[in-house]
Amino acid sequence: MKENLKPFLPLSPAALHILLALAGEDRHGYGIMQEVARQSQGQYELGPGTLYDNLEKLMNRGLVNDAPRRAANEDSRRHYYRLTAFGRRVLSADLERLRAVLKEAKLHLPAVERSGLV
Amino acid sequence: MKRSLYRVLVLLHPQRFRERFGEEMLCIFDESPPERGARLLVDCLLSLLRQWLLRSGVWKLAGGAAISVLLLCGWAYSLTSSVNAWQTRALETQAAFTKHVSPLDKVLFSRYAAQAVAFLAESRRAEAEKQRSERRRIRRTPVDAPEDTRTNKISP
Repeated sequence: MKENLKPFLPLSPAALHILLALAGEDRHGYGIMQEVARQSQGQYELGPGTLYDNLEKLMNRGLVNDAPRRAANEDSRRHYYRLTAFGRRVLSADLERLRAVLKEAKLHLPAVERSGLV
Repeated sequence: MKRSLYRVLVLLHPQRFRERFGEEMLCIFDESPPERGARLLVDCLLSLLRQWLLRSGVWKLAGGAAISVLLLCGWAYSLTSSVNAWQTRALETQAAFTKHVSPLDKVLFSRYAAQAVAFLAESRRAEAEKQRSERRRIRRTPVDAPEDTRTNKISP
């Protein structure tokens, strides 16, 4: 039976970046912020307030959950977060949606495609 | 200084959010380069507003209070308007009464006054007539009446 992911789509830019940052490995808050800045080449920077507001929503929806701490000597205030299997499916569905948007953009904006923006 | 301010801002967050993420936010502040301090402060301030106004449900209370105040104002306004309308209606009625009914009243009053005056005059005239006839009877009685009438004796 096919899962209905429509209520979760489209993801907000912050949620998309957070899920993408967690797609590779479990990360703590500061690690997510750094990964988001790296992925967007510094164009999108999350503050802690925005990050944790979005993380709370994602956790309430079951897309992200807590992960065990990696090392015992780490700062005890750090918490790690993990992308759930359901979160991964939602992320894939949103990336598929974005791929369709990109395809349309390439069809209707050839000049943009030539410029290398898409 | 910036850290203290940041800590205060974190502590001002709703309890649910503060307990869950407060320490982590402070940890991020400590790990961030010092030149990002001002930016983190602005972010924390925005987060504070967002958490209280949008996520904590306070907006429902504020909305309820605002709607209650509006309803009360509306009720007071409608009450004032209805009183004004009532007063206006009363004034209009009075004006109409003065304009249309009062002349009729004057006529009626004049008629009643005239009838009253006529009645009084008739009463006084009747009274005077009665007094005159009484005086005439008293004056006529000693002269015209027989002796035995005056003494109230019947003659044989």
